Amino acid sequence: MIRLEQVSKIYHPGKPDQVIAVDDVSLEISRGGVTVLKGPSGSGKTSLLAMIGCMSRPTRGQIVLDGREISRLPERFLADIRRRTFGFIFQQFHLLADLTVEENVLLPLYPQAVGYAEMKRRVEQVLAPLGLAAKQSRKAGQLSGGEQQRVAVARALIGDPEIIIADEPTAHLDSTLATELLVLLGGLLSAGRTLIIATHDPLVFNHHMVTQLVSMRDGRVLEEQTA
Amino acid sequence: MILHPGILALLLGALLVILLMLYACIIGFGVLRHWDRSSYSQQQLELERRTYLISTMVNYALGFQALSLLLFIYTVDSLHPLFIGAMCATGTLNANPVGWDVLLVKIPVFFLAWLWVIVNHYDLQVEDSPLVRPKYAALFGLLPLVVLDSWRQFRYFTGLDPQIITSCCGSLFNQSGKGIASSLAALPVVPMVWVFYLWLLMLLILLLLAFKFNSSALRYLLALAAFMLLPVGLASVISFISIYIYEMPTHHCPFDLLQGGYHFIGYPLYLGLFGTVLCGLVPGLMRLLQIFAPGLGQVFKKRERFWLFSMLIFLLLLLVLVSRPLLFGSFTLQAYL
Amino acid sequence: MMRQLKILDFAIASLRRRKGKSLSIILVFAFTVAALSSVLLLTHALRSEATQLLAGAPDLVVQRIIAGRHDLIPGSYQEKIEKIPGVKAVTPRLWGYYYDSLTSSNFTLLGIGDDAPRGLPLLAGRLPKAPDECAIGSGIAEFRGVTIGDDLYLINQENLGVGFTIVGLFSAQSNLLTHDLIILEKETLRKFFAIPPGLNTDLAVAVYNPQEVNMVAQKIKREFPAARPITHDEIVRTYDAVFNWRSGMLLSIFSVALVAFCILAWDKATGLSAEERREIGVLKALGWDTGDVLLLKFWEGMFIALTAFLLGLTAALIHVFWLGAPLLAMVVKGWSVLFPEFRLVPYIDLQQIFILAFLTIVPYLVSTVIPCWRAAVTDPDSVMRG
Ligand SMILES: Nc1ncnc2c1ncn2[C@@H]1O[C@H](COP(=O)(O)OP(=O)(O)OP(=O)(O)O)[C@@H](O)[C@H]1O
Ligand SMILES: [Mg+2]
Repeated sequence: MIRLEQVSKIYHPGKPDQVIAVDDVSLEISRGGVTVLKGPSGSGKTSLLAMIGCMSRPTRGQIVLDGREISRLPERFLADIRRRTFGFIFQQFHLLADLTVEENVLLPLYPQAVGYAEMKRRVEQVLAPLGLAAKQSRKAGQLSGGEQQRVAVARALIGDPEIIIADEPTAHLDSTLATELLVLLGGLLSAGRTLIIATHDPLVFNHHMVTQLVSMRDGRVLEEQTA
Repeated sequence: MILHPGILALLLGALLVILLMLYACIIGFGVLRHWDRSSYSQQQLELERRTYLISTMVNYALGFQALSLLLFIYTVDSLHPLFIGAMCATGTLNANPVGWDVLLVKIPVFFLAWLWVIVNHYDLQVEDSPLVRPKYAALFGLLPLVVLDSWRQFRYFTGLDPQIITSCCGSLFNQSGKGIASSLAALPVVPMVWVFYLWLLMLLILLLLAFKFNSSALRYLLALAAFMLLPVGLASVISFISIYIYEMPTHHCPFDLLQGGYHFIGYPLYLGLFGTVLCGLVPGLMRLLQIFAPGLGQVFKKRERFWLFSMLIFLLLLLVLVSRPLLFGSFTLQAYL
Repeated sequence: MMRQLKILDFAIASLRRRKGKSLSIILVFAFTVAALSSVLLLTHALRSEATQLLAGAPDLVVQRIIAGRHDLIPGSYQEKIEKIPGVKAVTPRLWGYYYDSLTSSNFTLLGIGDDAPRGLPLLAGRLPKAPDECAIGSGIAEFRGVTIGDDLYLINQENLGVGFTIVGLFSAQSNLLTHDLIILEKETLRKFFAIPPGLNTDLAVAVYNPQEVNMVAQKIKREFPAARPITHDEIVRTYDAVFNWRSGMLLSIFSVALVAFCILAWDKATGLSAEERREIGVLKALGWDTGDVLLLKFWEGMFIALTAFLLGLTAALIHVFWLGAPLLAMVVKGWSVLFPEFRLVPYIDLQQIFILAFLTIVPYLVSTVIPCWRAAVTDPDSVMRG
């Protein structure tokens, strides 16, 4: 479904502080699986995820999403693809602390042609299975870490995306919460979604649901294992 | 010079519009020079982001320009007590020879800016924005017009002197006078009514055909006819629409319509006229641009009906507003013929 | 449409979340608007008062000028002017200024005959009929602390105190006109000022056709080189020009305040806090496009501008019409001599509001274009780093 062909990401190209974050990566990610990018800090996982998730454009190479070449699209088209195809879970949750849970979850829907009634319906639909229905109108800043992570998951799901992208989702969680999150992600998988996770947490990359494990170092793919 | 608050607001507005347009042009120049759709570079990304700034600034400039057209008429109208012999905006405009020149630039700039904004809007919806270069080139063409407009407006207001004895609509639109205004007023009413209605009828037929058939020639014809509606419509306002609204056989002023005494009928009337012209121009223009940018056609195909439909609404508005006093007013020309 | 509405909704919500910052901008903006509006409303109100005042004025006033100074006009002028074709009537007017040392202010004394003066409506009581009666304006009643039935004492030309019974009080809609006015009988006034019989202050000339006023004025000038005819239109125009000029001057001064405000707005808008920067980053990561953020910022700006505008305008209306523009008294000093204290008639004029909105909102929007754009082009992947 997603094909990367010799993709590179170079920050400040041609300048003295040039950084080759992703170097000539070719990769194929298929539908309905769990792809994990693992590697030490600075190996280019986040940079690669950003390109896959249509947040940044590669410096070289091609990215093909469902047969459409997207590596050179203007940002407004990328934004459109981003909100229709991807749901994001960030390392630091990135909730807006003084918004309520409901408002946080709805953030991706504001620029879309979705009516208020429909928004309301979707929020309830997304929050209930995550056990957050009672917390709907609480301020996000007042929630516990685990609850915040679940709100972040709910927000990723509100647009009913095909692909969930998670960058170090367990980094800020203790092992109990991390396990809980993995169960949650497993649930998403069985609902037919595709997961792409960057991590260096063994708990994640050793998990049995992983179908494709990509090891990275210095922006290159060291090895690729498929289960 | 008269330090009327409206004049101050207009001069300030003109200054800001020039600043916006100038800055947009400077950035646009950079975009023009380095634009490379196929490039992956950071620079290309920067340029793409700048196009947002340019669009925003031109949109603002257009908005202010539209408001200032309104404010200009307003102000000129409210200044008339300062001039001996002036009874409405016409008198004030006559008080300085460049008065009419201001309108002569303001109205075209208004239409051109609208067309630019519309084309830009659709161009941005095409993946590779095929019209980037022509668009910014056109922006450079628009800039001198905007400057000319502001400069003439400035000259007009600074040249106004309350000592001036001016002539008003009574004499300007006097049928026996010389000059364009008088000859417009002297246009025989009955044939002018015919011309106006036949023109509207033709537009309506072209419009309905355009709804039905997808021919480009039809759209070019429609655009041409809509464009010509501007002079035809303005001449009709002066020649007969005005006298039916004022119910006076010799009152031909195109501005008094905007006053409260006539229920501000001028605003919807001019809205109908200008709206018809603008909406009629868009489909033809887009067809023309499509030749160079096929991608644009894909995007515009879904939106064309919106413009045709808007045109229909404006056209009907114009039709109703003009016909009502003609059909139901107590005034008949018969008595004066 | 839906998108616009929801983003507007979001914009208002995010302004509410940043109460401190939003309120400070709104307050400063509102203050600027209030200052500008006060000037505009005040001058416009003064102008319409003056117009009202002039509505009842004669078509033509003829004065006599000797050695560049205003002098009394003899009866012979009247007879000759009456004979000029087109002249309907000539009425001699008798009036003068009176310096009241008690209150150190100037009063206007006007003598009336059988012909009741035009343009002086809304009289409580009646006009004087006997030599010891007078009617006074509200300003004098206030200064002297007198009302109908009391006696008003004035010092006449021979330095003798004269008492008049107050029989009428002006409560005119426009205070300007009657504020400092004392009306006496014509002959009483003549005696009071010791004006010789046959002489008058000036002549009011009425013409049949207002379009011929200028011609009549020219004829009078030719006949009497010492005469100075002033047409009604001339007065209106002068007033108009003066008021436009005044308000223009003041507006220019306050424009400086506006510029200062725009700089502040620029500063506020550019100085995005780290928190706001992160927030925009999150929005962009979640699929908001640059255009969406621009729209958000536009609605935020619009909301601030409109709120501040309405607040400022309301403040100005209260300041000018309810409180009598005390804060502008210094700037309007020139008028306070002309028109002592007075209440202005409240009015709302759409054109004024339009001009004010144009003068304040447009520069504000322009000054926020670039900062808003800067915020809107935040990299979408910025939240994934660090
Ligand atoms: N905007 C940027 N400008 C310059 N260099 C950058 C930028 N973003 C990332 N880098 C550099 O690119 C390299 C890869 O960074 P990236 O964030 O992709 O690594 P990562 O594998 O996600 O690391 P971590 O595990 O610490 O999150 C690093 O050396 C980083 O310093
Ligand atoms: Mg990372």
